[in-house]
Amino acid sequence: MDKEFILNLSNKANITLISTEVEHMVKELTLFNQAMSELYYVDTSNFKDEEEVTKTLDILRLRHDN
Amino acid sequence: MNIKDLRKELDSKKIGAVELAKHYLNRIDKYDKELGCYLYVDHSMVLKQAEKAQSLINNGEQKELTGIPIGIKDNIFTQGVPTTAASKMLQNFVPSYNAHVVEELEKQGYVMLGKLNMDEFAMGGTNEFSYYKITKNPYDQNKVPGGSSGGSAAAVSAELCVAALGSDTGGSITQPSAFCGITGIKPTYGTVSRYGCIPYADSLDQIGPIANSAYDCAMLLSALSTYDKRDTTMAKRDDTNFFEYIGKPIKGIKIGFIKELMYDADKAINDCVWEVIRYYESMGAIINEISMPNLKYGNVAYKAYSTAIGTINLNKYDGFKFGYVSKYKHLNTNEAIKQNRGEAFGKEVKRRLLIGTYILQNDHLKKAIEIKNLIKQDYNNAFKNYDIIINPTTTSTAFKINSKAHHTDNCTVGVNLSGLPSLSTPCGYDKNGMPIGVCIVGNYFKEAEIIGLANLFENQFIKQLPKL
Repeated sequence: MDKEFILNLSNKANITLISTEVEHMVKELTLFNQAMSELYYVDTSNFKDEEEVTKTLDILRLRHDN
Repeated sequence: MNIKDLRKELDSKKIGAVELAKHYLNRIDKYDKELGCYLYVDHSMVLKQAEKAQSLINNGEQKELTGIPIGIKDNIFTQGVPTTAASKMLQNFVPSYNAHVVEELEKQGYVMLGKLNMDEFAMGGTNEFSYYKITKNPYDQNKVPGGSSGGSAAAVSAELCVAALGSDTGGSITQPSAFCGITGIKPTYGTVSRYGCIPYADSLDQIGPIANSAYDCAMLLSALSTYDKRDTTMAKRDDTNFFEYIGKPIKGIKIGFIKELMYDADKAINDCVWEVIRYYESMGAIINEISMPNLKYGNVAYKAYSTAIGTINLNKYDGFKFGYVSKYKHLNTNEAIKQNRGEAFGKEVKRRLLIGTYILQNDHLKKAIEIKNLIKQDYNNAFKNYDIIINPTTTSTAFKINSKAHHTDNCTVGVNLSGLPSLSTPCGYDKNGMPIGVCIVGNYFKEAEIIGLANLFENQFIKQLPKL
């Protein structure tokens, strides 16, 4: 994560950020990504309902695109 | 004062609805400059409603909530009354219609005291992220009231209203209720219509009551939980007698307490929740420890899932479709939208929108949904063996304003991710006199059971009121 990444992201989110907010978000998103990476060690294969997960994802992405 | 007792006093004419409304307006005038619970109060509007309520009482046409002074969280639409979700984005927004819950309260002849402060767009757990002001905890004004329904919880706690409406996405009713020493219930997802409620993450959001007792919460929930086809996620329920388990013996009911959440909590909280468990055991409940190790992933999964949905929901606030318009002169529409949003959203909303935008672009959202399903499955398995699950509502008591100690969602997000009903009621105080809450979780649509259990404990618990 660097400033350029955050500026690209803020562009996609349609939000202007001031420089201190950009620096703050570099730290925040790095921390969030680290926390998120721990979830990939959790085995969800036994109960993962692939169809439901895909359906939920599709709905959210469709809403986002519109 | 509670709704149950006030109902008797209003009906017997020991007190009048106008007199009662004036009592609360006087308290708001006296204490709210310091506490900062309300964003909007209109004295003349309150008194007109109280006069109307008194006419209903005089004609014998009163209902359970007629003349009861209630505050409304500022993300719930109130016709003709500013509704800002505590954001600069909606600073001058006045809805042209009422939320379903407000329609139902109006049918009851309630008195709306005003609109209550919150974290901007319900994104936060401290009330520090309101654009307008920080609400303070009535027990210690250097400390936060919790959030996002912090204004609602602090107002009930400080007796600046008899009860209030809050909304809950990841603990926004139960957590501030615990911090402010009062009772709040997040109903089963689909029980209360969100029509007219400004959403944060609508796959998780629920509206619910915050009050001085579980009994009062039942009175409010009875009024709020009517079916509304305008919210397509609503369940058609015919089991909304929320008083069913009040006064019933609990001998033989099976209660599980979640060991991981007990160990996470501060010692004072752990001790108090143990007292609740021992009390229920003494009344005949069967108590067992249960393990839900996946709950520790709930906070991160919740953040990913809720921010993704929040990002989608807040896309419409761009200054063109809805919301604040910057005075800055722009070359094109895209730049104007970015400027409007950049100026109007606060730092926490921006943080969550950026995380949400990031999440929507990669596989993290898929993983978060899988973890959400895993936690839901864990709860479903637990409810095969237990009637009730108990845990601390928070791992710490209310912390100081600006202390950045925002790690209190761990105990609450699991029930939101699962859509289960949960109630927080006070069960003790730490060495500094700050309230401690116990969280009672029921299976889907079992609000009556958790209300009954909370009522039993409340009947013998001695509350310490805040000294204002």
